[in-house]
Amino acid sequence: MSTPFSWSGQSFRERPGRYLGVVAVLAVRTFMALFFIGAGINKLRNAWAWSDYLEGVFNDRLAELIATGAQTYGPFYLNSIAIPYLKYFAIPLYLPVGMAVTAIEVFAGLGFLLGLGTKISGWLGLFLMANFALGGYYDASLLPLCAMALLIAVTPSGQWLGLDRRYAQRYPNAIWFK
Amino acid sequence: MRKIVGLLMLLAAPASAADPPLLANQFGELCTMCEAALRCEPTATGVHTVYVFHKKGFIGQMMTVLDYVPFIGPPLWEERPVTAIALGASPTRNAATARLSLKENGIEVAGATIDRTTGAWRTADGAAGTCKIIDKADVAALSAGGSN
Repeated sequence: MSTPFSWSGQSFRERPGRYLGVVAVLAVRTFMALFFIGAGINKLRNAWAWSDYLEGVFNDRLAELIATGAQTYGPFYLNSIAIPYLKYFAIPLYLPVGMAVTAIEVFAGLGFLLGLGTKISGWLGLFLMANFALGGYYDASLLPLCAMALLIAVTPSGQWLGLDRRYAQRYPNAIWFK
Repeated sequence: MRKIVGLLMLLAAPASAADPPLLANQFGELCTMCEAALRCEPTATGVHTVYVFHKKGFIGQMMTVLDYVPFIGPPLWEERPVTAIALGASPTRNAATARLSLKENGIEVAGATIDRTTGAWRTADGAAGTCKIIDKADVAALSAGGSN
């Protein structure tokens, strides 16, 4: 079992590669914190969680998918995932979807920033990205975002820097602070 | 992902004071995966030109991650590939890179400039004209059919 990470000159001298890796992961986590909080604030500004704004966004995307999907997928375009996802899930439930997206972005962003519930925040971020892709909101920006969320989800960065370390000592059996 | 929104908003009538700027969605910019076309007509005689704006390139799409980061924010301008089709007797197509200013509401493409608010067009050789959004489905017919 590897020794716990510590912020010390000795730790750097003993395993400089690990030390720099930890710093890199924490830099990624900080970037993701800013990204998620920024995106969450943007959704709060646009009233995603309490207006019909998101319904319009989804309807526009659905119309676009149907228009372009007919060219892309031929007669089978209706079999694509995004169209039924929007039509039967996202549009009828646009308000709870807007609430969930806003809440996940704000809470995951705060989790990244504070190092609290960090791994779970990483998985929540991945869940969000997967749903963006399923809903037809995909472009190349999802690749680095998914990679960074996965990195946070699988590394104990909250133990390196953040409140997870403190709460894991107080509640050693709780999965939230691993 | 604010970048990927319906193309339908773009398929509107020519810009008026109340309309959003040309090639803008409800978030203020043409989305990364959207394609759109402008038809620009000279005020006097001259060659009509159609500009087909394509999806952002792979790196450009990835860079939009920075748009939401506080203190970095959306860029003041963006670039995307464009095809300029001069609708003369024998239409010619040229690939170029368009530069869309989000702050000054202008587009620079192949030496020409387009005002995103008024649709005013100034060609590379100084001629004036007006641009309006057209349905991208009409582009193939336009270029195949020769001059306007």
